Amino acid sequence: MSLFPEIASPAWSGLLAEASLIDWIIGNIGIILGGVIVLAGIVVGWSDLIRLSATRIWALSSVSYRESVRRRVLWITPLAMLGVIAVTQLSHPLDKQDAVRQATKYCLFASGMVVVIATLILACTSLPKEIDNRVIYTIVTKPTTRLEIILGKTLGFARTSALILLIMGLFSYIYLQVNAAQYRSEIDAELKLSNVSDIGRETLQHYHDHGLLQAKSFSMPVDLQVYAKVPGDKDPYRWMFGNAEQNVLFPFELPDRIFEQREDLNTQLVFAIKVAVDQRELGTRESDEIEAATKGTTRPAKKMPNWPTIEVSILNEGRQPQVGGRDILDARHQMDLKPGDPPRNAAVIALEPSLGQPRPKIVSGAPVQLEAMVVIPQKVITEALAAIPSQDGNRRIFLAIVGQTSATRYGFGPGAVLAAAQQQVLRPSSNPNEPPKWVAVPPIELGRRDSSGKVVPPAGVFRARISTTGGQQLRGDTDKNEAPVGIYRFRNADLSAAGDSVPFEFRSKIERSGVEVTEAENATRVEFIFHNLKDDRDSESFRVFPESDRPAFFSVPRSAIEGGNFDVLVRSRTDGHYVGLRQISLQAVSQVNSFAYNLGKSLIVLWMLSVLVAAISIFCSTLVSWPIAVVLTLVFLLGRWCVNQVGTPATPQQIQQDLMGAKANEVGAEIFTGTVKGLNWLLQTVSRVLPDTEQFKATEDIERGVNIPHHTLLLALQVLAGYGAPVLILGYLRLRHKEVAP
Amino acid sequence: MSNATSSESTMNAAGASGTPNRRRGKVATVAVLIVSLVSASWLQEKAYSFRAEAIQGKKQDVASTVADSRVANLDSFSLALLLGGLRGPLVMFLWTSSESQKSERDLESFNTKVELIRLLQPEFDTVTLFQMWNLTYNISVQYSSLANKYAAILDGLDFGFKVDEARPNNINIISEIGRIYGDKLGGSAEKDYYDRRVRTETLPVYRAAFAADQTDAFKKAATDAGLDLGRVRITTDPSGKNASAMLEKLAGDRVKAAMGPAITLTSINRQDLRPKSSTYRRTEMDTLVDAAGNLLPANVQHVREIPAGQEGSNGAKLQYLEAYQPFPYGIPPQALGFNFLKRAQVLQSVNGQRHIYVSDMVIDSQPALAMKFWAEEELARGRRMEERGLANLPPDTGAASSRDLRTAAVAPDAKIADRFFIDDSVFAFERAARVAADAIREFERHIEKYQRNLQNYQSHMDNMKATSHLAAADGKYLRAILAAGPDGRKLLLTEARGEYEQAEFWYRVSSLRYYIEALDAQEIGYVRETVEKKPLAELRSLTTKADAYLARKYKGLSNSPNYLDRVEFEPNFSRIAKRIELAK
Repeated sequence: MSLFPEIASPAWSGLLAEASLIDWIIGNIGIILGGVIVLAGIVVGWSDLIRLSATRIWALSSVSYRESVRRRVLWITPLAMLGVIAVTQLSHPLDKQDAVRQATKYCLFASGMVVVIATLILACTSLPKEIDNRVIYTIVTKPTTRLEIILGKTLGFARTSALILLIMGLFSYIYLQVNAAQYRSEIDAELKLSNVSDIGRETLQHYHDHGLLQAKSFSMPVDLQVYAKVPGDKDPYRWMFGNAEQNVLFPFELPDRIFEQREDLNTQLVFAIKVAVDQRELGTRESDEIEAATKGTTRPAKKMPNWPTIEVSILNEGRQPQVGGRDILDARHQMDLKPGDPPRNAAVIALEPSLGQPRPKIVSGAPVQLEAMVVIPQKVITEALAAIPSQDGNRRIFLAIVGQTSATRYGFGPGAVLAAAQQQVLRPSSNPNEPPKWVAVPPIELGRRDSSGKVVPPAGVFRARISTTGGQQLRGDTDKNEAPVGIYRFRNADLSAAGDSVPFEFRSKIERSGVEVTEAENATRVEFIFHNLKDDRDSESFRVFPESDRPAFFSVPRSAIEGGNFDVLVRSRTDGHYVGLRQISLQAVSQVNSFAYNLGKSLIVLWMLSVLVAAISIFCSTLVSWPIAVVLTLVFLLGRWCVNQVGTPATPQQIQQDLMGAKANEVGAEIFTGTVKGLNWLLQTVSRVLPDTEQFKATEDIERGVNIPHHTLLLALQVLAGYGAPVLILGYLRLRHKEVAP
Repeated sequence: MSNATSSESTMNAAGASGTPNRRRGKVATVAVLIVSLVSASWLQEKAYSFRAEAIQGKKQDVASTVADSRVANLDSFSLALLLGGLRGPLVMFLWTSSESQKSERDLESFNTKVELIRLLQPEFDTVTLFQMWNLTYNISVQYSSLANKYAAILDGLDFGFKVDEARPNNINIISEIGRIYGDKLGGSAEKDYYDRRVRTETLPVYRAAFAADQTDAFKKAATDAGLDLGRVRITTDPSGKNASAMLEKLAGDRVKAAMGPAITLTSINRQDLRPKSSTYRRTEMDTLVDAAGNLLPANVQHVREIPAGQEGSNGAKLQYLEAYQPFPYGIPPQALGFNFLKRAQVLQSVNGQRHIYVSDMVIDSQPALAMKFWAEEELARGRRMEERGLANLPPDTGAASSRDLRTAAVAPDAKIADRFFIDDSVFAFERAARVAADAIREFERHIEKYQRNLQNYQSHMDNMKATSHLAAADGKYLRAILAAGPDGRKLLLTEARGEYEQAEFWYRVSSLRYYIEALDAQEIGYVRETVEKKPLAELRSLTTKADAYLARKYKGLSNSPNYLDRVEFEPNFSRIAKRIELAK
């Protein structure tokens, strides 16, 4: 039994799923309510609207502004400044940049707190106090409308908060500049004392050259792929390492018609895979790994690795596992089965030469062409693949191939994977006495379709193994030829605003594995080489020693990136150190703007937040007494954020299991899960009519030294206009019908 | 407007009539405030004294503890005063925020939050212990570079030292500091790196001054001393006549030996070179000894004298390392660990303090164990230096036992490749011998108090006896190699042989007593408890018999119980046998 049977029941759910209008209404409840309020405001307050006078609004705002200043609200700013200075002295930064970053955060946090609290208290208390002490009589008895009172007060508090922010902004700017200058002189001293080969010198040099107060804009790479070696023009293959260190993904589109479910139709997907394989002798590390994995029972007697194998699986468009290798059939080896053997699956597929050919001897440096064929049966198609959402009549998947054998490279050329959907239909026999027969129909060729609709064999996307932190693990190796290479592709990067040398920022997560720690420092060394497509030349090698999750900086001459189309080759050159690469790990600094301008944008965001606070506070103060109005305003401001923090309970059943244990009876469990679902639905729906204050992002970018994009300001403005205007109208409507004077 | 004017005049009238009453009220309020402040101050003083007495067990330096505590806690009091009632919510926010940052591996501003937590919760040992452990273990492992891991451990130690400054001689903090030195810096997987850093950094640095025309000679001497010239910054003064460079102490000694009077070295404590910046993050330890290896006076300043034969705190930070001066090759982390764990032990046994988490017995046993690890580290260092100092050694096979055996067959007249390393090695062996002998006394002291731990620590004591003799033997053997004349060499070799035999005796006792089952021992022909009464020759014969018996009974020696433990003695037996043969 459910507490909300009508919501939980399948019938209602089905109705909801189909009733897209209801979904749309619930999803856009905030906008709809806002529109209704604005319309209502226009209709009800039309007479006041046409009498609206900017002069009277300004005069009323001046009263509020002067009253706020008279109440010594500005005295709070020196206290906030003292607080900032005190807390900054207590900070324990990791380096100078972190020190400035923390100081920036404290300054903006203090500015935000001061302006929000001051506006909240002033705006919540203004109307109720004026009503209480009858000062409102002096206003309402004049030819002003209630709409002008509401707008005038909001503007007055907006002017007050602007003044507070101006003072705090000036203080922040001067304080941060003084701090930065002090740190910069310390950096100069450190640079004088340090040596050319010292680890971290590049970062210090970057701080010295570019300063600590920055507003950088970045140019991002369009693609990241990891290979066993740099793809060559004359090499027909793209290579990846085995030992489950890398994988390659081939994208396919599956048309909806192959998901048709009929008793007289059988569909299966067939993938033909061609792989070039090159093997070398096992190294000590690889021999040790094999010995460890097999618990010392099968330490390879010979130095060559085992016969190459692969694993094949299917990923969805988000590159998450959809069908594992155990659910896919290894078609090539089904004929080797003896009666009673389970079917061979694609978790481990031994690669084979073309049918009828003997297995060749693999010699280092002489790649051999091998093959595999896998089949996805009807059951997996209908159960697992059909669950992928269809877009434009297609479901998009990746065929993932992992090379499993150590000391082995796997090469994939054009058309390495070809796929088709093979279908059979049950046709009645011409002889009425015979049963119907399965008859093959022409296969459906799979792949990505070009603009002409022709199927194009997909090109592989080469990746390194994904770590638990989500990055691609770039294995370190002192031997350049054995170190996998990550290639970042920058296309049409506009770095024209950068100077003669273009700064790059690199940030990754680094893991160590299987290396003995000695007395030596053994820092992670990462090398970058720039290949400029304009002149097809490689730059010199740039070396950095990054720390996990800390930015490392280096600069390259303009000639290396001239034209904006270039590849960056990345290798980790320290044994046993894995560098986690993401597409955003490497960024080029395309432009450095003024910090003052960035600070200004940040303060504008804070100011818009304060105006929203003023609007909500005034509305609340028209409803309830001022202490309750303060609390109510806080609920409005923090409600949506709180709901987001609580999040969506993914599995109410799990919560029920945790709280009530496995012994909970069925009815109790259903009541519980139904209640959790219902409360969550209610919370989510209510939060949609509360302002999204998380859009007022005043500190995130500026503290990282990143230029605040204009859309951040637009988002804040959108929330202010979309929420502030209806709230003000509600306040006006309430005040219009409120008796404030006899 | 008329309404407002009338109300103001009404107020003025009321004010005029009520002025004397109001003034009297104000005076009374101020008086009450002053009395409250004075009485609060007096009560606080009493409360602190009471608390300090309770903690310190009514004995020794209570007064100095309280006085220090006040000054060092100033930041904390100021912050609490500034925040008023918001202290609690802020601490809650900082805890959750720092913990979520830790799980997201976002370490920027993490240390600031931890420092604020310390300032906001200065009185809670549980908080301090957690944050010290947090920084030392959880945060340090999140860094990839060894230097940053090390810096995070120093952050944890600094955290503890700041609390120690505010609330000195607290058993919880002191023992945690000792544990970090001993277990983390001296016992983790990265201990070789940490050990090098701690030893190097506890020594001073040299400012080397030489004539500018000697720069090439300096570079050669520096290269010969094993320095990477890319990391040595040579600066020349504006006149172009004089040059200078900063050198680590041990490397500087080598350069000085090569250049002689052409170079002048000035010893500087590394803490004196650090910038005086509030945001500076310490990434290295402080210098603790002078150029001669003696502890700096600030570390051994006595507040009171403890009569000979008595235990007690004399108030010195490194009280228990004073007896081991000098430390010409730096102080190992295990030694620092021992010092603080010994201080914790004395705070418990003499001052009556009790650890909030760890039992009395464990606190009492820690110094002995720390000394054992210190002795083992010195022995291992002696072997490393011996390898570097001797010429014509067989190649390193990379096996764990290689180091023990690589130098074993070196003849008493072997050639020296590097005298500095041999001197270092001799010092390390002799220090190991002494510390191992002292460890035995420390174990005996503990067992006297906690007799039920005899079973646990008897094997450690026997092992330390063997280690002490082996280290002494190795030291004498190296001294024999260095000896100038044949008579002196012969005497040293004779002494070394005697020590090697003693070492073999105790290793065989350990092997036969602890790693052969009682029933098997009976069958072989001895009683485990009395095996140390047998002479060495008989122990050798018993070992042979034991191997034959165990191989027969368990169908192969490797199948017998504790086989892997017994095998660990083999490199020592091989080394000792070779050295006894060579020393004849």
